[in-house]
Amino acid sequence: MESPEQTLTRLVAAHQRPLLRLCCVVLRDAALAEDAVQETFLKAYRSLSGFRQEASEKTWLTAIALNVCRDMRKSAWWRHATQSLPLDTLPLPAPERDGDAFALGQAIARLPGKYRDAVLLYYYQDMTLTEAAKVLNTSPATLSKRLARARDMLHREVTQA
Amino acid sequence: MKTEEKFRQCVHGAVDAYGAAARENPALAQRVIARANRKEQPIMKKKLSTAAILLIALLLAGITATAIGLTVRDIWNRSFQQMNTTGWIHTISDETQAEIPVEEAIAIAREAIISKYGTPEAELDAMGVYPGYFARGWDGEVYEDPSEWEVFFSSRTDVDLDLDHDDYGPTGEYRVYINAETKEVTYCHWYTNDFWSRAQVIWDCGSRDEVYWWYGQPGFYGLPEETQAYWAKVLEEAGYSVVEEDEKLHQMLLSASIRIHFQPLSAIADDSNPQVAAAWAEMERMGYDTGVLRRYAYVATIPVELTGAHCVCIHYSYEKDADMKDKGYIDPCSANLFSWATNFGTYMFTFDPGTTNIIAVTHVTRAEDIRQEPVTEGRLLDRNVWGPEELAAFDAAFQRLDRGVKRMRAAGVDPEVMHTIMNDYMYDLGCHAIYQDAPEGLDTTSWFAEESEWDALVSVPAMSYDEFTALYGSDDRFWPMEVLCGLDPRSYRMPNPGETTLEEARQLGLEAVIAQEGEAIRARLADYEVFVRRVSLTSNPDAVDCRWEVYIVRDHRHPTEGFRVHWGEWEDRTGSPFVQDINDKGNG
Repeated sequence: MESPEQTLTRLVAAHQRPLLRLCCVVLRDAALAEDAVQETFLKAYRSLSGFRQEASEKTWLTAIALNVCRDMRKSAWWRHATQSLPLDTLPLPAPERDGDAFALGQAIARLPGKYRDAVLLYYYQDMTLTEAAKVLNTSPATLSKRLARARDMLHREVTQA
Repeated sequence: MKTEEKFRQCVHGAVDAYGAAARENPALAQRVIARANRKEQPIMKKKLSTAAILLIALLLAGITATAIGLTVRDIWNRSFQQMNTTGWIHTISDETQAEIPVEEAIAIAREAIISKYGTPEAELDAMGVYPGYFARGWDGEVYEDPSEWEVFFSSRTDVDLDLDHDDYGPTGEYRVYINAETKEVTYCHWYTNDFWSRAQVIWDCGSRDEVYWWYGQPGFYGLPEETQAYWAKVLEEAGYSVVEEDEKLHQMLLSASIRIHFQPLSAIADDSNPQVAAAWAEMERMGYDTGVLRRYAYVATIPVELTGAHCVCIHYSYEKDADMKDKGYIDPCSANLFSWATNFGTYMFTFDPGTTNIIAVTHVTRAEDIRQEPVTEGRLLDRNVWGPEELAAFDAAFQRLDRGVKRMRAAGVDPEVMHTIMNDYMYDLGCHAIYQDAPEGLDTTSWFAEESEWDALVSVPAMSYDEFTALYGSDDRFWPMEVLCGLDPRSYRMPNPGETTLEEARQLGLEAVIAQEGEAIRARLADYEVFVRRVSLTSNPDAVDCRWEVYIVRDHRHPTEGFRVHWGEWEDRTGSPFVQDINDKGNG
């Protein structure tokens, strides 16, 4: 029988990297993504006893992470605001890297939330339509439609770029 | 499936590349355990409301703009210009890949609408038509989802009130989805807040389920009692389960929440302001019974510092509601809460500076689709039940909130700044209401003031208070301006001060087309009609996700030639001058 600490250690080892990258796409900020993942695991750790294995660990953690990201997006704005950064100190454009893949990553990050989340869960987290739909609180049919539209948007964006 | 798998691999590579900057923490588990053991609070204990965030963003924009010698308006314009580069222009006539041409899609959509709703041809002719084509899947071969046409027929009251037109058809929008391969209509729906005025036609058309569905909506309970009784009887006789719908409504109301927006009294204007008088005169010219409307409308001026233009806004409940109140169909308490929540609109008049010459009129109404929108969950800290006889107590509660604001101000906090400027410069006191029981319509309402929300509004730079007092003075009281009831407050909403206005969007749309097509098209565009839609893209009530769409078409009834300009950033980057827009330069 695993102790909660052992469970957490296992979960972190297995899911930290994909969650980091998922959060990075959602938040478009690496530092915030790191915060979000830490917050995700903290929430998971605190509610381990209530996790009933009805969903896979990945689905469960992803759902938590997306919720954390939603809060963090607000937090990010607030953080910038409270720092009162003058315009010329704001971050410069990120350097180009890894060509097409990075461009597609940018395009995914720029998708509207519901489309972006659908792509991330289905294509990146490799969830089934049913699993992803459950996380996003929608139906598989709707999710399927979102995926189709997301692909269409990405296609337009990438081809235009 | 091969292509599908390839795409999956692409996404993996893309997300990994994009997220590579985020570093794994080898000691993360230990760090989490340590935090949990210290009972450390989560990073985001308090959520700032969207309006607060927006406000702070604006304040920061203003502060930084001042620091570098720009006006806030410069910042807004700059933001929008920047976003403009991320948009796309879609040439409607280029949709040659569609399985069926746009003319046929529109014809199918019209037929579906007429068949389902009995809508007269002339009425559809008077509406704007907005077709959109969604090609089948990635590279056209991945998914089983068919290609699809979406056709919107929209009354222009929610888009752009052109004073040269008198007939805009009914308030609302028809939305039809068509399978482009089989030509099957997969979805046909009418979004409106004035359903019952034509329910009989729809019923007679055979669309009985549609009427039944609307029976389950709160708007039904704003109807005269005899109308309610009539439809209850008709539906029951036709075999529909009216009792079941009543129960569903009751359950929905149990969880419905209300947010009340307040406005500083100093912004409330009367006819002593010549521009307000001119605005009312224009309302009369447009055919409004201003005698009735004035009793239920609130007029506010928007400081020119916020919009860069001289604007007067008339916020109103529909005349029919006013009429129903006069006839005693709705008790005052319900009217104040429920009617505002379900029927509310705004006219915004823009003036030449220093004159009473109106240079633009914008009319916005909410066309709710209650079923599609999630009901916001209200959080109940305290509970009071308000009945029609309790208006005095209701008013006292407002006063209590007002005193609370003053207490906070005395403590050095300027909460009114927080939501007031950004959110139509209304102050969101964080009030929520829970309809608890509605045995006689909606005559009992409980609500509370969630004072704990206020704690989250404390961190305001002192400078912003100065700015606020410069605009409003330092002794404002607040007037409840708007009640949002579990609906989508952002659909078709008027741009907030600071967001790109309809006129600006129109101009930017035209410029974008000219930039793409070349100067030669400029002269031709003079013959085109331009329609601007402000649309919301998600159902999250906290999200700020409107964008402008500009349609530039030869003929709105047959929009087969023209352009559609979207702005690619979907999270209110279409003009909202949020700091995030500027900051996002660094994030692609």
